[in-house]
Amino acid sequence: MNSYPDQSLSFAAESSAAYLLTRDHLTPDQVDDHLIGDLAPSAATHLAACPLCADRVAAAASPIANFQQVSTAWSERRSATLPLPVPTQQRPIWQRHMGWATASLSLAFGIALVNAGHQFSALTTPEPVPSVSAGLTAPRQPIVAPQAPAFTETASLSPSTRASQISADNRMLRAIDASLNPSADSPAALGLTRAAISNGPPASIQD
Amino acid sequence: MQLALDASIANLPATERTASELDDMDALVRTYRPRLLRFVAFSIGDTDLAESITQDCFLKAYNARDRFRGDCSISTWLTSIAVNLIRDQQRLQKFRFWRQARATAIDITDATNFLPSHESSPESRLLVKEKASQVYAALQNLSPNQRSVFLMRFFEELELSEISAITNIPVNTVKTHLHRALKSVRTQVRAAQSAAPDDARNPQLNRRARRPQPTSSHPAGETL
Repeated sequence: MNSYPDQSLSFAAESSAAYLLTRDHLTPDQVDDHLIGDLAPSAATHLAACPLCADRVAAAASPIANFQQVSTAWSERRSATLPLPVPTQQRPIWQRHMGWATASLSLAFGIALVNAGHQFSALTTPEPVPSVSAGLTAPRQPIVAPQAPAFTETASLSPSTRASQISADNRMLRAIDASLNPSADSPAALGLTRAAISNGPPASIQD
Repeated sequence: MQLALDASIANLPATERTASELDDMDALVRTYRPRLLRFVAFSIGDTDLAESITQDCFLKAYNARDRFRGDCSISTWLTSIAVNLIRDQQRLQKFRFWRQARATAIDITDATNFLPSHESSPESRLLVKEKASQVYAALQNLSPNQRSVFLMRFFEELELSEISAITNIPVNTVKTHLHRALKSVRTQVRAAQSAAPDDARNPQLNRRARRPQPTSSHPAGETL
């Protein structure tokens, strides 16, 4: 008999808890909030105590979890079969353009070299001076550019050496003139006189 | 392209700063490539393009590793780079009139073949395949922002604040995107389930349906 009030009290408490559970079931938005991770504390408390809502939340999360499972398996298999990317170390700007800079410098240097060669040959080659008399009297000599070392050699000689060199050259030129002198080839120079010519060939060639 | 590397993730909680991990490209790729590839692939729906973007992402991360300050995890940092690359790609695709047919689109039914066979029975594998296909089909109908946010939350398991920092969207907008995405996915999955023959498709749900209903009325008895 004494236990009746206690039993009725506990029954009332249970029924009120069940009422609260029934009344505070999660709405679909709250289920979404739970999945998103933004569930209010009161709803979270209810979820912890209500197996029905827990079941609903699990059912809502199940397709997403399945999809996550499938996609993870797919990506892991896919990644396992792919080659690893080779990292390209990014070089500084001056290194990146080093090739172009070298090529440009080489090209500029080549062009400058070719231009310098042309200018040097234009300076060292004397212009032929047209001379009417020379053209008429003597056959035209081929133009030979004087050798640059000859100039420098002459300039570097001492005065005495230069004088002896000049005299030696003069001697050589006189010898050349003498050898080229047509009078040297005359019969008189060869020891042939008019009488000797009229008497016939010399004895040396008579045989 | 502007990478949101510095200022945008300054509010995130500080996590590990592993300089050696960033320097070791092989380890970085081995660890993070599957997750990153999955995120990119299901964001854009093109396998080949996803692989290309994933590689770009790792190269950008490697080249910009000096700028990583450790304000967030490496995974979050990589995801932020991937989000920017995906955004660039989507922007580029708008101006391409010669868009290819989806020859390299992900075949989700083929993807289910990669599930480890020892973990589950053929029936449950079929169930997983069915549900995954339904979610994948529903994902295709989401807007790019909703899809990206959805994938970041439920695949990458990022916090709302992290998603907000990566996407430069306020947290409340992120929540809105997630609510809409979930609602859309739920609606489409439910429609797909009701269109399919119930007994053969979803024995679990049908068992639940045959169970005696609780006396209390459930105001929101909807499930996916």
